[in-house]
Amino acid sequence: MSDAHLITTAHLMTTASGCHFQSHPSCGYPAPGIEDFYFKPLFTIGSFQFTKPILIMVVSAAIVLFVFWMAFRTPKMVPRGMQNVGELGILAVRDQILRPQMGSKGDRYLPFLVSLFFFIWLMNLWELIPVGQFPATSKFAFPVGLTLVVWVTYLFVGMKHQGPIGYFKNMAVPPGAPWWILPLLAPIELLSNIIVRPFTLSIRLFANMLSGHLLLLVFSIASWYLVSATIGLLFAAVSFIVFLLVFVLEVLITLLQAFIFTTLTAFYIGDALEPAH
Amino acid sequence: MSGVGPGPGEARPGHKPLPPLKKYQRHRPAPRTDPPAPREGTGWAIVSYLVGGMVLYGGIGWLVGRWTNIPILFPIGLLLGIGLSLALIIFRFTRQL
Repeated sequence: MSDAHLITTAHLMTTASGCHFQSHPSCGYPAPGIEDFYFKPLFTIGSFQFTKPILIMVVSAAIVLFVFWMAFRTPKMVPRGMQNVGELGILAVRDQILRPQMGSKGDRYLPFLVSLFFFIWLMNLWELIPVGQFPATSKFAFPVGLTLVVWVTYLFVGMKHQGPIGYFKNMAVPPGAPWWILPLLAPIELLSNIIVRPFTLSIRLFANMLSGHLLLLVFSIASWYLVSATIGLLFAAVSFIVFLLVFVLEVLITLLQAFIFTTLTAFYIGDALEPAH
Repeated sequence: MSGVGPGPGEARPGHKPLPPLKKYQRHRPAPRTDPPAPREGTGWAIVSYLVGGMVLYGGIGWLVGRWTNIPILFPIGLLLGIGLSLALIIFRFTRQL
């Protein structure tokens, strides 16, 4: 097994090894599919398989840690060098995500939101970085893990600030509703706050990154598959242009998904800090 | 224009000011203030209420429909769920503005 086999999937390997419409006339367009999201393990420890998405996650966490450690290991009153970058990132999260959702009383959750935002953004960005070329967040386990952290956090914060019973009571009883409709509405509130919220939070990130990766694969494989000295070159060129456009779109989406995930986290924690309205 | 007339806030000479309208003051509408800008999460919260209502009452309708062999209960449950979600959204997000 070659080293290249470890970081690309078997499906992409067969594509790259010459499935081309001229060289192998019988070889149809190798459409990307779910098999492109499964990697051979880089190594195994017991039954634990260390694969490329896990490597991407570890590297992303290390980069976030390293950058912020470099920025703030000796903080100065007048920031220089890396500290400027670090402060820029932290202030962006504070002013664009935290303050609009929670106000200044949520400032103690800033470290959590900053780490969450940059960790997710970096894991998404690996979709566009050569050699990486895979967003770890398009494996469902990663968004689910992050969402579990958020879910436990906002439930805990709610029970701490409003009391365990008060929290669920405030959550279940919408203000201003007539009493006779409450038994019908309370279950919706509970279901929506405790189950639908974390579910949609993880699905949104996962599905966006999965579809983005698939789109990039479709057009990059098509560019390779169609390139030749015939009229196919025209199709290959169009496909490559679309690939570049999707690439630019994905630059935006990687940022946007990290932003939405963190914004909603701030919203949920802000909701838990005090009863709605 | 000589500009000798009283200004908008000044009393005209020989003109008694009107007594304060105590009786009617309570009917004066409150000064208009713009409603607070909705937070970004509000839109997603509304989506989760709609999904929650449909899943819950659609699910109950489906189960009861299977049990009683009346399949029409599933769409009825879905519609009921959407209606209740809308009511909930109105109570949660519009009455306070």
